[in-house]
Amino acid sequence: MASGSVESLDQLPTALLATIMTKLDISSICSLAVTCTTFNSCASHILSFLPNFHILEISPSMGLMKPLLPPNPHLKSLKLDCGQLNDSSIELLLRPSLQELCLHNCSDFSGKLLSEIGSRCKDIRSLYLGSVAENRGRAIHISDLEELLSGCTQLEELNLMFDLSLFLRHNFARVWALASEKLTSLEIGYISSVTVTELLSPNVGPHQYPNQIQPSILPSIQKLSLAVDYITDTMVSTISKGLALLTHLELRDAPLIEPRVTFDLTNTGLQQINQHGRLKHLSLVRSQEFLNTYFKRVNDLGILLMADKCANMESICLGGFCRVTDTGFKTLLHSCSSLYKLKVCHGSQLTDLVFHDIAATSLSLTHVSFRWCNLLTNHAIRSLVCNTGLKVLDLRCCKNLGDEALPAISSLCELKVLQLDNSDITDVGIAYLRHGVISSLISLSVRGCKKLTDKCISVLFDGSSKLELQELDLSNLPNLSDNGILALARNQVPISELRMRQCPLIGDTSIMALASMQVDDDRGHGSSLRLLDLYNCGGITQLSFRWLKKPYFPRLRWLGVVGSLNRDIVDALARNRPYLHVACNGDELGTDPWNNVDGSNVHDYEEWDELEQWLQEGEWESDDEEMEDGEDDADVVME
Amino acid sequence: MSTDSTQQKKIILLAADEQEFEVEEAVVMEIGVVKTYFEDNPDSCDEPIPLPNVKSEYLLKVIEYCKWHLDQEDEEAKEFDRELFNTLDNEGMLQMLLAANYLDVKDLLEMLTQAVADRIANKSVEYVRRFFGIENDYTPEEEAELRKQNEWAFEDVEPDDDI
Repeated sequence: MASGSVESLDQLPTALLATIMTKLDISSICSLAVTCTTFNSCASHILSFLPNFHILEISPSMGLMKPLLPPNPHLKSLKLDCGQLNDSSIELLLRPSLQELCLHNCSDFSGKLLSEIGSRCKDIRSLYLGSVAENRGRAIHISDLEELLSGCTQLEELNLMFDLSLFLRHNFARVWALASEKLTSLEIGYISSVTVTELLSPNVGPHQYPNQIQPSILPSIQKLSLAVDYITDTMVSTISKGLALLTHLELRDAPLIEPRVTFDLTNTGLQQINQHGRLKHLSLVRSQEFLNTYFKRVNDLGILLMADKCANMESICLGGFCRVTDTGFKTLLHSCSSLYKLKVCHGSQLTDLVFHDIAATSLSLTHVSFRWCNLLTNHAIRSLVCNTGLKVLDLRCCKNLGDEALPAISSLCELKVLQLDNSDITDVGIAYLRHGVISSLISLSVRGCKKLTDKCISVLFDGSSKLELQELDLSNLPNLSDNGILALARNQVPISELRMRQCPLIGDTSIMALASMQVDDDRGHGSSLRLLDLYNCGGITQLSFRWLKKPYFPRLRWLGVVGSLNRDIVDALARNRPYLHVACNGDELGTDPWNNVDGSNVHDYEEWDELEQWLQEGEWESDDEEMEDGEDDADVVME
Repeated sequence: MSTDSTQQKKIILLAADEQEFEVEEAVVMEIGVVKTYFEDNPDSCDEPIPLPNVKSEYLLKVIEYCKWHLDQEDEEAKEFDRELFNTLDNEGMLQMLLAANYLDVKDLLEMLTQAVADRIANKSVEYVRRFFGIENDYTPEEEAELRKQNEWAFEDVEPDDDI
């Protein structure tokens, strides 16, 4: 053997090469195939025993998929974006060896997808199906769901992320009795609360045998996550009584009309939660998707009754509980000693007093979110940071937070995510972040912090080295101009996601600066950006599009622009970059839907002011009668 | 040979460049190819065992690996592994891989194949060629055709960091 020279490929046994290749993802394997003929034949060969096949970043066509999925008895995990596929792909995709199947964007499939999974993939343990049959002309029938549930007897985890209420009427709810007994996790994209109640009623009804300990429907469920029309007392009560092993409960609703007392969550319902004592994670959120509405029939009493039973809770998320005051929230903090995650949205009565003696508790919170909690001030934050292990701090739309909170925040040395949207901070306050937290942050959002100027960029990034920052949101900043972005590019901040929506002063110069940004002097690889949102930026013209084409922005996957620009230009870009997702209508890019829980990101900054006004003026006078109804119910329970 | 002093017994391993290594029997038995050799030739434990396909540099590392994983706790052994992988450059890693394969040390081989996979995942075609010392035997037309076919796979390539 010659010393110092690299071993030639002849020395590398094919079996060894194959072992290495099976540990790679499919896109790396295809890339390896281009290196030489030996690797190409090895790659072709291992396609017939590859255990994992995941393509989620692009929507592959049938033509691309076919050669990559030969008969393969070892294929265990298949994850795909099915945006370009339909029922004709079923034969290719569904294999009896599959244990994990995750198909997104199945809009062009019909319900046949479900029934075929039931008959072909009997060994499946984990199933995720997104957006099935959402295209016009496609339909799912109840029989499809029946075949899925009865065929997949080993199913442990099921996520049906589409609207079940379109074909699942409440009188067919008993179809869930067919589900595997091993099912421990269930998530549904949309279902009516009446169906849920009907579904679980055999578990709680009077006709259950007296010595039958196990519930008969979905007996093993530990994790339940549902989006419904209305969260009601009946539904919450049925779930809590009917699922003995429940540890995670996530409920979200989006009322179309103001809920009536019989169709709403009240103190009574809250009292029923955690009947079997196993609950660790609870999320109850009323989203503002269609109507500005809240859990008006729940007040401190309900929270107190709930907290009584929830000493072991680890994560609590409450959205839309506008009547709960400091008393209620404080009770939660003091009753749940294992709590590490607390999220409150629209806590309009939450004040600093909640955190007054938080240092006296033994809490070590890691994820904290207070959105739309307008009474919170800097003082609360100063108390909150005694939880030194905080990793996620979300203070979006807390209008009264300002510069004085930032020195405290900067002391959190493990903080990874910081969101200060719509707060009152200025460049002076931002400077505090420079001396601490900026070195650990992965995601920073200052969306809508109107007082910030270009200076905040240089103050944060000039001269700082070794940053972990990957995501930066500078949207809705009226004073942010191209100079700020030039400063960003000059400092070579290696971010992968940059959002600058609705910035009137951002123009072509910014795009040119970002395109020529070199993360590393020697390599010359250009910008590392994977997501760029320029929706409604004032100065973007056709010139920018020349700089958005290849070879600039080599890793760009998501682009947000305004659709009113010349359609031809956008189409030309799409042709130049066939795998780029372009959003022209203002949708948020690449979001996690549960994070955007009340649709508040959709509102422009100007609309937000009106909403806030409505909240403070209109709400308190009109609903006292309904509150009394709720209190009456609570009185009955107490007796 | 007496069998009650097997703990003290040392075996001599002979690397490709004639360097000799004296290793306890228990450690040496972790090396599959040596174990098989002894099973086939039980009487030859006194002679040095020739391993002509492994250089001393890498044989030493393999022996260290076996020692650490035999004697030490899981945590400390993992520390050793981390140190080892951090200090190996791409060529060194490839050499270790070949050594582990030839010597048949299953755990080390498993870790190294994973480590190599991690290093070449999402990297450019040129990077992979350099890593393995591959000659490109495609004509420019063939390569262009292949690149076109697999265009989608090149969307997410990370910058080379070995130049």
